[in-house]
Amino acid sequence: MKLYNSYILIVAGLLLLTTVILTAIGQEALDVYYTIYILEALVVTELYIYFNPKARRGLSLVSAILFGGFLFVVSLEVIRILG
Amino acid sequence: MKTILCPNCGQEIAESPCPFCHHPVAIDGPVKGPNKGNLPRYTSESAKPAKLMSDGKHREKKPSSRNSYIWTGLSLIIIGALLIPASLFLFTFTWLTALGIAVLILSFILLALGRTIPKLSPQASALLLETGIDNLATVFEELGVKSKAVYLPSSMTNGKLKVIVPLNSKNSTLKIAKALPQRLIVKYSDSTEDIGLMVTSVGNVAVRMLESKPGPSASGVESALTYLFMGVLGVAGRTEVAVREHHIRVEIHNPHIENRETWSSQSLGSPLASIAASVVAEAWNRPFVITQEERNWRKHSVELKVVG
Repeated sequence: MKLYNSYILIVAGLLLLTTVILTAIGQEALDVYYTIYILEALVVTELYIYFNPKARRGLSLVSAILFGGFLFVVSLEVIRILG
Repeated sequence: MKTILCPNCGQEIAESPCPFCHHPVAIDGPVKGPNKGNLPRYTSESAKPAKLMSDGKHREKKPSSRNSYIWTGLSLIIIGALLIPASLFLFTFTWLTALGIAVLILSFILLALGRTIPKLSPQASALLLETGIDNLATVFEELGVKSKAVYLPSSMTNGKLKVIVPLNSKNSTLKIAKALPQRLIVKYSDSTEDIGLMVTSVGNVAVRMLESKPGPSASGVESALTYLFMGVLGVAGRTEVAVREHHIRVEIHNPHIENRETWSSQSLGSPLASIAASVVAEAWNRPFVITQEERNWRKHSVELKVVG
């Protein structure tokens, strides 16, 4: 379970650090926060290549859900620009 | 009357040997007799699952699928679900809303990982492992087997990975003419003296957890071993493999698995060495023997040699 713990700690640390940095630079758009969170989570998941198949399947499902949210944010932005 | 749990069967007993399994037990102090040195050092925690399993009432109870990852995930979902609307409509803090989103993402990850944790507790797993090791050690001790085990690839054992322990320790060479049958006692060549015990080791079972057959190159073996040690079993860190003609040196970093010296471990090697030998034998499709093992707190080195 050491691998799981290190993965969770890294993701949690990155998300917290991103929040602190974006807040410090005065970022107010929530979609920016969300997009960066998703990118970080996806990159860290890809870097952990030694997860067992069951864990990888579970994380792929989470990635798919998060990516769906990302597409929703992007489509909202596209509609806003076109409109 | 003083009663204790039998370390072998988990029953509550007041006399030695155990009336249920006839295992010698130290009721008041150390056990006397030939088995004294081989008695396993069970902790009170490792004895508990045996007690539970031997009790009919407890056996019917379904094990809880909720582990700490699931509980943390569920807690974070609640926190995130409360935090987002509160920060959006009540406090109007963007950073707090973003933090709520981050908490939700983390909760999804925890729930996904929590579903992959085995339902069997580590104590119950240790109990099953120790039972297997003790039984094998007893068989080896009774037969006086001292020769080094040879790790065979699946092609030599009709599909199932096995280990052969030659009963004749004087015969240093092992020449297997054809695939061996799935038996406990097998004759591995035409000579009448070439008889061995064919058993399953920890490594043989671990190799079945690999998704595909490992490649014969050093990097192929290295990645298969790291995947097993780090990703699947969680018993060590990264692995380094060096190939030198018919010798392979495997270095396992940060091992955190306890080594128990038993009669069978002298022949089969430690669990980490057994896994390394099984993976290498399957990758090279040749029989291997563990020639040397060195261990310190940071590294476990295993020397393997091709046989025949």
